Amino acid sequence: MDERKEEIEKENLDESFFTTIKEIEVGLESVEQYAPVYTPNLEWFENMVVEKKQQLRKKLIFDVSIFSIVALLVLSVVLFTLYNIPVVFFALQGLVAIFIIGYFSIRLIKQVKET
Amino acid sequence: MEEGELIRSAKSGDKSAFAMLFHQNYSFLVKYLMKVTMNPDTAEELAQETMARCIEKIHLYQGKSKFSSWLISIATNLYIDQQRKKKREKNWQQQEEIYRKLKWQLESRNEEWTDALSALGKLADDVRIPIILKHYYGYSYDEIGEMMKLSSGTIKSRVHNGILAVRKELRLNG
Repeated sequence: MDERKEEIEKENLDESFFTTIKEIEVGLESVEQYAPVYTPNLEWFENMVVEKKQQLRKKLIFDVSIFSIVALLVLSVVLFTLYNIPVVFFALQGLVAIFIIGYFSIRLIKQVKET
Repeated sequence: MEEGELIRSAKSGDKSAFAMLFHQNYSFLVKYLMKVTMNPDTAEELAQETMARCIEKIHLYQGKSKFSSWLISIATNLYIDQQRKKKREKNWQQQEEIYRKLKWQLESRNEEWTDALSALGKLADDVRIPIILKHYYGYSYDEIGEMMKLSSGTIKSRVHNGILAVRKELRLNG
């Protein structure tokens, strides 16, 4: 008896689930059919593409310039310290090496602890 | 010109090919975004952002899925990122305000704004989107998972729970 009751409940659930999906579909279909969309002409899209490509080119030039300036600055500092104050140069090398080893060790320990 | 050919030309930098691809898919994209955002203005803004992103990333399009599916995927992720940045509270009053314009547009064409749409509008974006993709556009759980960068199991449970929530809401209203 209980099994039959469960079966009926399941059937009702399936049916109401299906009805809900159907109602969602009907609602979405009305948006698809009746919400107005104005599609611009081809020329508008072409202009948009040209404009976007120009923006991308400008951004690329800007990024490359910034990268080159920073790289040149870092290189100048490294070369300056190497030839004029070698103690600072080697101290920096040591510090960077310790930092890298420390960073990866902590990450490894964290990963091991998590697993 | 066929879609494949247009994509090849667009990849080689042909602006007319890009324009034709966008022209062909614009309405589909905006209507998808209207269903997702429930806001015609946001849908149009996002469609333009999607096209801009598409120009930038066209070299990554492998042609495994249809171009329209790829656009949907970009648009979905843009919308989710945008909402995450806003971090606004999902307030019912606010949501009603958001879809008021769409409601008005439908009603002005003698089309009824259904309770199901209201109920769908109340759901969180990451629940509403998989329901729309699954039950309106017919994508599989795996495809939706790929689009939203989630496992198909997660998508399946979100769709299921979302429909249960809509059903509950409809019963409350009915």
